[in-house]
Amino acid sequence: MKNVLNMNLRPGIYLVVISFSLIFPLFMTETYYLSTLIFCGINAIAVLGLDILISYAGQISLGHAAFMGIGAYTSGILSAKYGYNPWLSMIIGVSAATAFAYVIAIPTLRLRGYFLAIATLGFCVIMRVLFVFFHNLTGGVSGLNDIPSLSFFGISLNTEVRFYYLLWGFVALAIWITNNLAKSGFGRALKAIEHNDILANARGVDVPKYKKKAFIYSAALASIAGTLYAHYMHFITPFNFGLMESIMLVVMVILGGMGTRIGALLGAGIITILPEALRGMPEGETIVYGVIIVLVMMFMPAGLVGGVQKIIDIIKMKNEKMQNIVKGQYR
Amino acid sequence: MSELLLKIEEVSKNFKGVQALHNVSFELVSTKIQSLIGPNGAGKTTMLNLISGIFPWDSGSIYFKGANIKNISPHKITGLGMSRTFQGGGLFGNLTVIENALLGFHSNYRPGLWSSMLRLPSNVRQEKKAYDRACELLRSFKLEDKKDMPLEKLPLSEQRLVEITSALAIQPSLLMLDEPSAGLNDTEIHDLIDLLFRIKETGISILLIEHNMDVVMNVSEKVVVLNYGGILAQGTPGEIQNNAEVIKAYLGE
Repeated sequence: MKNVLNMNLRPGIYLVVISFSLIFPLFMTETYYLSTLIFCGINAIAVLGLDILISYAGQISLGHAAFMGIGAYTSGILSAKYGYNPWLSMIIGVSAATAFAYVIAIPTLRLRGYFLAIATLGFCVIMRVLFVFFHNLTGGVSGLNDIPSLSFFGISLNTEVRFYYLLWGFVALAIWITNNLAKSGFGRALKAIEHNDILANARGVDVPKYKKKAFIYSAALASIAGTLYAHYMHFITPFNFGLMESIMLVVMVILGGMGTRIGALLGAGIITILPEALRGMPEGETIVYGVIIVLVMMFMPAGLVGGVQKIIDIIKMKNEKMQNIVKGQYR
Repeated sequence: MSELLLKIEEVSKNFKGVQALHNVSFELVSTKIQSLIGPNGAGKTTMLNLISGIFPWDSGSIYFKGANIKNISPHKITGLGMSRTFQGGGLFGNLTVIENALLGFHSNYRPGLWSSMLRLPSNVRQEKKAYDRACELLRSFKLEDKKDMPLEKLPLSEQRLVEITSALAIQPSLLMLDEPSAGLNDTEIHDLIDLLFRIKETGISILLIEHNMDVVMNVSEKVVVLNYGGILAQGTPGEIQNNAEVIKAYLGE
């Protein structure tokens, strides 16, 4: 079913996406559009990782915004309050989030079923409370200010255009490593677990270990996204990393199409741009989300990428039928 | 040359008060084909699930290559050199033919997170090696042309071969097959019997659960009969065929 996207279209789509994103800032210098695309990219990084957990390992997490938050706050506090180098504080932030993921993974991923979803949901709520509670460090509900910009070989990435290129460099890297992972024996083991974990275990796959690693991987990518967000916005609040944000990440995965990198980009892009397009009617946003989810679930259970693929398959089948009819006439 | 490969000692298993197996003991000597037969519900598949570590058992011991495998997780038991197929097909419908076969190499080569995501040379090399070996195995089953096909496009008999390929990729010393002939026609069953002998010749022992008595009597050196969770009889196919108890259990009174 995935053959067409695998073989013919895929390199083309990447070429279009890459060249478009490289050229975009040259003719579109308006900050608003650039920053929208930056948010798309930040979400895309988190969604790429979450897709490995959801579509490959078959586990749902409702706490990935919390990992973004841990990354963002750790990096933000270290660089803004203690004067650490932003790159170093980013690395520490990502390590901290990874450590949290590790601790959560040990008890929850040994169990089967929806324990991870419930545990991460609780984790997300607790982390948001903690972001407010430690207000001496985090600034509480009024947020953490003055997070410094990242710099690259002495060039401060304090403009939209500069940060845009850095960010999409990160996105490209995330696509590359996620793709490698998905296409490797590691990805294969995760897909086997998703299909039937008992069977996978009997085939020699260490199921808890692989699920744990998939979870940690997704949490690490989410925290990278979070740290990038912090150093781009220079200002974060607990509201950026709540339960709703976690759910939006899951929606992006489901909408875009499970298990493809293009789907992750699409899902992140559409859900990020949508609220901007619906600026006029704040309540309408929720309705539109709801309608989208219902429609996708009903008509495209494999997400947009799967849906497009299905349409291509149908057209191809019709073509073959037509050709057979034509051949029949000449026979 | 033959050594004790599998030893079942007084194993019992209850499922919420229902006694599935009661004090079952038997042995399996290497490079033999041994069958486990019995009427429906006799506990054959349960026995296989206990041996492969899917369920824990209540009392008794199971030794594989001399090691007690109580409470060892299935992937570790697989790593010791035991693999199995499942009744009704233990395949991964979301993977292609070759991906199913490749999965069998997991117990020997465990792809790590870092090496996979960075495509380190070690990972690429391992993957290539597994891929070549998987192709080789599929070629021996005349399935190489179909390696990139989704599983559902294959007829049942070929799907079964894919599952056996995947189980053989583990390079097991013991291969356990749960009703491999179910749903196959006469020609395919004939091919299956050939295949069982071919596998045995490579030095792999087989524990076979089977309903088709032609297959059982043709291939086995030893037959163990289970009935109501206990051992009814064990012996050579000839002995079993003439055993009055066995005939009674199968035909009723």
